[in-house]
Amino acid sequence: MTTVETATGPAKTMVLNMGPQHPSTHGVLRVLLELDGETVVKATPDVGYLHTGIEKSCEAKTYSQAITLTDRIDYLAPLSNNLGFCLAVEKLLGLEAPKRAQYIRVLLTELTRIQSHLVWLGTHAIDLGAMSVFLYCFREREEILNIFELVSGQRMMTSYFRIGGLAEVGRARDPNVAEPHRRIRGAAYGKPHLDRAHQRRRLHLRHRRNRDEHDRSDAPRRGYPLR
Amino acid sequence: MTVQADPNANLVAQRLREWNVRAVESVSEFCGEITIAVPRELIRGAADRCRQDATLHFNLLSDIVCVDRFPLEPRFELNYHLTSIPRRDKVRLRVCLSGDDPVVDSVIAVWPGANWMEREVFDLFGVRFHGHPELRRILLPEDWEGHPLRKDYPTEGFR
Repeated sequence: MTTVETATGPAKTMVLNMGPQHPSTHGVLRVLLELDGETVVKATPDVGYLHTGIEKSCEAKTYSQAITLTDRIDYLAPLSNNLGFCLAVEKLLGLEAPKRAQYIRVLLTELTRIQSHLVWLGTHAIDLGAMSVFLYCFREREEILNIFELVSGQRMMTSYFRIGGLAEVGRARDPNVAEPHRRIRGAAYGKPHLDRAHQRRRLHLRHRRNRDEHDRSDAPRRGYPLR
Repeated sequence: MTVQADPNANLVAQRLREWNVRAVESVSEFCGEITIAVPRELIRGAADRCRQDATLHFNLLSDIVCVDRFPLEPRFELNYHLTSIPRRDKVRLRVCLSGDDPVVDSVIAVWPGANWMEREVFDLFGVRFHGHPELRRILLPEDWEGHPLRKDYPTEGFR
């Protein structure tokens, strides 16, 4: 207990510790609160609980090795941090990524922004007591993570951008990864109400129409139901 | 590569030199970014000029970045990244500090946002800021020993 001057004269205050784990902090933040009754008269933040020392770890790594660390600067926006780091190193080297890589970088980084903001929106809605917003946001975010998986093989921590371009692995040509494509297409054509079973049914009907052109033995591998 | 630029061609360097002839040690350019080296004892005044001068109007201190050039001397390099939102301009002020006396004047009075930036540089590099109201660690625990971003602080096996 200490005494402080307040608007209504001297008052006894109490110091209360809040955090570092607290439902309202979304991460870890400790605040030392000085309270006059239920009024906060002083708040001293204590940060650093998420400080990982990535910049120190980078000292002992090559520029290429450090890319995997940049994913972890913000685990909701790995590609954005990949991009920032790669652009900085490219600037130092006087390099410019090929046009195709630049386009893919911009597309993926914007998708990263959307999925990151969806988490922001969903979790803030939870704080207001709205659980359904969270579920809708995460459902849409899954579609974007499908795209990340399609291009890089990873849903998070993609490490997909490289100094001078991209980590191209040619997965996009693999017929096994055609399925996320279709799921995304269903959503993009304004039919998000179609759940997976509906979409499979639609694809099944389309497959039956075109079955002369398809080899049926190939169907399961391509994601088509056999029934 | 970094090239020495003509000090008279840059508006910021020109205005700083008009304020104090010793304020500009050198002007260099890299990738279109201008860096002005300022002597240690004049950084507080130079910062104030950059903020107050109506033709410069650097109203935002984007970041304070420290570089450890160990084992070279002067060892530490402080880079003040200034942004002028109304003029859409950026400049970097650079101050060099010796390893045995890394002290520099605080710029909190010019940009209040410098408070936590200076605490961070102090925490990780051990550079002290004269006139800072509460120069204590910000990211590391209070009882941490050493300043981890110094180049003579090993990446692992410190303890």
